[in-house]
Amino acid sequence: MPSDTSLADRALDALGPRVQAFRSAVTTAGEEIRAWASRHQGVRQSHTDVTAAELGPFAAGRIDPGRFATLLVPVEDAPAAAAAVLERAGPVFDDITTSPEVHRASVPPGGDLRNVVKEALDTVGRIFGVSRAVELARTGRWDPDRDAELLAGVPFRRWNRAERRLAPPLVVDVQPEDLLTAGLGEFLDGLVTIVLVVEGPTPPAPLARLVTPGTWVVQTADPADLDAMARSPHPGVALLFDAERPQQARFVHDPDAGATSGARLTIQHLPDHPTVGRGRRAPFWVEELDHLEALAATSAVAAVGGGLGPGAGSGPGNGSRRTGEPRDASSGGDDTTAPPKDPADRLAAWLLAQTELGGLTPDRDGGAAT
Amino acid sequence: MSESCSLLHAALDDDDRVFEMADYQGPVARWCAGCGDHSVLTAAQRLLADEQLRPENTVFVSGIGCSSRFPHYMKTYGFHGIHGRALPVATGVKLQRPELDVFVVMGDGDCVSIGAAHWIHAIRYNVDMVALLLDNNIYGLTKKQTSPTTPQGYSSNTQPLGSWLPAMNPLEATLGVTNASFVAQTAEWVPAHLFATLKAAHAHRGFSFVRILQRCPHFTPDIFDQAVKDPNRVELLEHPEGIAAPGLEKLYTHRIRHDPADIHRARELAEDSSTVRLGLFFRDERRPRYEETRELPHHSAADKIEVLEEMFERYAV
Amino acid sequence: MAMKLPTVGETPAADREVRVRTVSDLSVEVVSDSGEGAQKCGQIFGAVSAKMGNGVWTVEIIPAEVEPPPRSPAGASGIRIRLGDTEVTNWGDETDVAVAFNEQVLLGRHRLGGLREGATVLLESMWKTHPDPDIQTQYRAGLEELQEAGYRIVEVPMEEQCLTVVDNPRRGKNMFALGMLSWMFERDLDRVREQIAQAFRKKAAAVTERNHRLLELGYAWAADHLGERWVVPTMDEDRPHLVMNGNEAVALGAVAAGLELAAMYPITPATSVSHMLGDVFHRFGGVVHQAEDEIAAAGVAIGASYAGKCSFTITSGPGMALKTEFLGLAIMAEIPLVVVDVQRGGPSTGLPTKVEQSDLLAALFGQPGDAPHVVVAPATIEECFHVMTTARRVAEALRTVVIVLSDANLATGVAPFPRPELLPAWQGGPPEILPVPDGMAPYQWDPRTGVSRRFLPGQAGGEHTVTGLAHDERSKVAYDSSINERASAMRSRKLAAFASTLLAPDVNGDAEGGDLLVVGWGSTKGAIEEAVSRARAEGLSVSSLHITFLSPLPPGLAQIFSRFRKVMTVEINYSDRKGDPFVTETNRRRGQLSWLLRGATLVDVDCWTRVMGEPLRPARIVEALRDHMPVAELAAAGAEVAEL
Repeated sequence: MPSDTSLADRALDALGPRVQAFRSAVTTAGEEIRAWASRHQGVRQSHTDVTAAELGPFAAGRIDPGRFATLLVPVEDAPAAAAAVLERAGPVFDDITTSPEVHRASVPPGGDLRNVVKEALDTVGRIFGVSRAVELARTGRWDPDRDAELLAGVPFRRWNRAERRLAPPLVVDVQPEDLLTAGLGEFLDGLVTIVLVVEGPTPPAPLARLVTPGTWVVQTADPADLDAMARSPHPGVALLFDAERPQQARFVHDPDAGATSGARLTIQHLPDHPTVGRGRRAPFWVEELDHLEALAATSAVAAVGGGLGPGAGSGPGNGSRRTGEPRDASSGGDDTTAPPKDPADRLAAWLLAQTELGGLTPDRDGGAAT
Repeated sequence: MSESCSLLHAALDDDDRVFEMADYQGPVARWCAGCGDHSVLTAAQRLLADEQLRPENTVFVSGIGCSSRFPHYMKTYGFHGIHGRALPVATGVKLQRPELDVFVVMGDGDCVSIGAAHWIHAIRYNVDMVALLLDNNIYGLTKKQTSPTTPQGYSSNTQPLGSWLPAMNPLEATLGVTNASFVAQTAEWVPAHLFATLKAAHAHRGFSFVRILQRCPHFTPDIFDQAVKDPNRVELLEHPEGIAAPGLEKLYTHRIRHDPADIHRARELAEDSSTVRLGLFFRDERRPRYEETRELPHHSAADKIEVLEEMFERYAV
Repeated sequence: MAMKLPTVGETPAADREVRVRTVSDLSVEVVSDSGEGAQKCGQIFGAVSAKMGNGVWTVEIIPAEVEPPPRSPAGASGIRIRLGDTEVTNWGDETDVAVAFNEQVLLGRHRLGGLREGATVLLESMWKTHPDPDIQTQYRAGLEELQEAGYRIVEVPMEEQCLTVVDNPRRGKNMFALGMLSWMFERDLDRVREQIAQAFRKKAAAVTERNHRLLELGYAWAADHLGERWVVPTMDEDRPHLVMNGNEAVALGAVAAGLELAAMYPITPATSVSHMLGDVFHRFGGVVHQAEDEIAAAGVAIGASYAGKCSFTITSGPGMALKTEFLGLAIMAEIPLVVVDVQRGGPSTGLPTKVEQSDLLAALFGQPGDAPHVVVAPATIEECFHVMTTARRVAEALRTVVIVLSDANLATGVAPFPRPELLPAWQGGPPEILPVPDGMAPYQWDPRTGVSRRFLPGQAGGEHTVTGLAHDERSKVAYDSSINERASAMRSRKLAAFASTLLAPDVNGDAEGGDLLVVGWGSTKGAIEEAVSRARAEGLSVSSLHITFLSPLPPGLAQIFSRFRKVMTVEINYSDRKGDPFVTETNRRRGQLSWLLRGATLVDVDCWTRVMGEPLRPARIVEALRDHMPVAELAAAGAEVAEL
């Protein structure tokens, strides 16, 4: 479907910064490997030629490349296993570099969304595995028995923190019937960004249950709304509708927008009653909608009790019925010491109190007296 | 920290490494006993352990002066450069490697006097880094010369009859610069606040300017005497979006509510020097960051040659 | 029949005879008020000539102000194009053919000695009948002065002609002039049209079309009225060439060298490198950082180099002065850095748009403390391109600063050079960021070479603090008295080791020796070699030597010098002349290279230098060579004695 394709393409365009960061990291890695290989492999035969090439035509007749090469910090020969690993790594790098599919997936009708996402990330995991293999090989730590499996790829659950921050964004085409999102939660880590593109009516708020304090969550019909997510330092999940429909909620959860879930949540549109159709159980949807409402409501509670900044949690004129008018919270003045009303904030305050942050003493910290 | 610049570098990352404060500690600091720098060093090491920052991905950049010895006492990468010029160096580091955590340590002569131009422009660039101004109101390393923040009338070796001019207020100056995004003040003698401030500064994405009031045990031991001895001379800025240092409520009863989103109020509070104010004066995460604006994907050598060949066509005969 | 050229007041005869002359070398100039497009005209003419196979050197004539008052001799703005039947390496001597849009700018050129005696001048005639009687008077007076100087003046009704095509002739005269020149030099009109289209590709198509009509108008007018045409034979050159100026070459050369971060602060005449990079660098993932000042530009470049691949900064003399302390730091902390200094006249603000070679000694010795580093000077526009690769590689290999000394002559000169065959190896790869093996120190100097391996942030196990303080090989501050001596030795040894890889330069002329050896450096190479070949044609025993690496100097200089009776430098910087009041052999302030060579070789190296705010003219160098021949000097000394 051409319109569908173009929506997914537009989504991918909006994710430009993330795509760019990943591609750049892949390119750099490829260049590093190439440079390393030319520096360390076959050092003895061609050092003079390599040096002459590196010095460029200006040096011709002015610098003796053979003598210059003897000045360079000695380069160790590549470890024995490196050549084989690099050879296996090359095609994987080329594949990933040239294939746009690393950013695209689609759920076949009746398919499992979580599995499709997992498989897509596992494809990316191949390049992470290969990178690890290359690093082990370059540093002489490659053990074929232990490490051979790296060449097959690293599954998402074994990605390290840095790899999770490098994950390429993923745009997934999915049918409304297959939009079961709860299983995506485990992937929303680092800078993993997943955009689900759907055509047609869906439940009102399938992403509501993925709202956690550090995750960017957005339901929208406008790919431009993905820009901010792509620039944020958080993992993100988006549901991109092909059209604005009254029964589909549109909202943004921006982890940086405030301290409470309500402050972080901006609801552009909230449906009145979820319509039931195609044999789905209504309570499932209602639950998600209720959850969204509850999250949004904490801003109002917190604003009264805890004193949030003006307008927190509800962009003015955004049509939200639930978050209502911005409350002038700053007029609260000296009530900042009142305990937070939001259960999550109470929990956070308690946790904070449990850390040693609360117990710092000047003498322990080597303060002024020393 | 932004993402790694290379897949290979990411592949090396070992999540199982756990860092203790000791992992960030370099050789024993050679500052004088009682110097406020010790307190800042400890707070910085605590912060790094708290955030589990990788020592190899962390860079402390400094200029020249007592406080600029700071990087030598850390077990991270460090750049001890020249007087007044830490900020351009740090900017270069971030432009080249945005994924690194960069801290800049400057003294008052370093930042506010000889490096003033860089300071003003660094605020405007808003590159993501933590800039610490260790302000003891005097040149210490060179033995007691008047600095721009020396109080008017305070005697020094260069101005023995007392500093001629009113002291410069670094907060006021910082808050006056377009694109300022994080301005806080703390004091070395309130370690909990100092630590909480560094933590907030590090969490901020942008140029976090922290002025740390500190005493020089030799040349300005008395300079913040009133505030040190009488907590009532100190006012804490408080706000849910501000800097929270638990445990200070009992000692510091003078508190003022200040929304760090309000730059006008921040400027008023900074300008008024009748009391020592600690806390977050201003923060805006949405200000453009220079290194982010300028960041470009890496191109392979082959790609560059292709584009260069295309460009040659303009000049070809 | 004697040649009949139209002269002042004479209406060109329709049945006139056209004389065609074949020359091997000729200079053309187009001068106007600022904003009348003379430079565009000359650029197109130069590019077409290069494409047709002529050697070409183009240089812009730039007034000091952006918009000087119109019709003033000091406001002359324009361009000079030197054509040759072989490669042209310098701007040459005086101009043979000039097109001027008013008599005042022409007077400006005349009074500076820019025009050859008997030069042909095509002069806009509208001023003769200008409504302002003062202008009419000026015109008549100016014309008189020019006639007395012996130029062949052809008055051309450019304005009147252009008005048949455009409403505002200020916007069209240049293309009319291009048409006249195209006829006079038998340029291929299709190529000219093509070049015009290329030059105005960013403007509306109507602009190109209008310019084509003006071109044809000028061509037709010249064909109907002028009596002189020139043929400069072309070369058969199969190799593709590029035509650009030295600053553009530095910018594109930086890309080819794999440099990715340029930090700069605007300064004439270096800024156009940054303009160029600003236009294209992002397409290569490169960043041009415009810093708040020259010092910060150095700091940002050093910070970037410290954290990864070598970076560079671009400046001119006053900026070099400001960067001094940072250069010392980079040398002390052994951080690679490439610095491009596009030299201009100095000291202080000096001659901001004009060429000088006065930064040599400052580049070498300007950093307080002992600060060994590399200084290299490209001599041609082609070398401006290629030097960047070598500079980056050497800076990284030696962990030091490499200063590239270009100058305003190279920066603004435009000439073709063989299109580089780019290699990925020129770019160097990304630096290795791997864990540091246990026990390695950040300055693990090889005692033989002083070279050590650099650790970059991100390399686990390599954590250390670089410092401008004296330090040991672990980068620890030196508290032990021997450490500074050793570290200084290691930094210095890198230069000695590098010098051992340099090859002795070739002598241009008689390698086995002769009467006089002329030594030059930087952009004067073309002019010096042309002068030497003219002098040799006169029978003088003169050879020349060009020095590319100024620090360290290449080996073999003393041996080469010993084969000549006399050695002298030719440079564009100030030196006392022998016989000036109070000047003795001992206190004489000499050309900067001569000073350097005397110290390095203990040879009594003389010098001839000029600071006229323009590139050296080969003819002037030839005169200087005649005066400095050992024999001539003996004769002069003899005459002096006789007078006594």
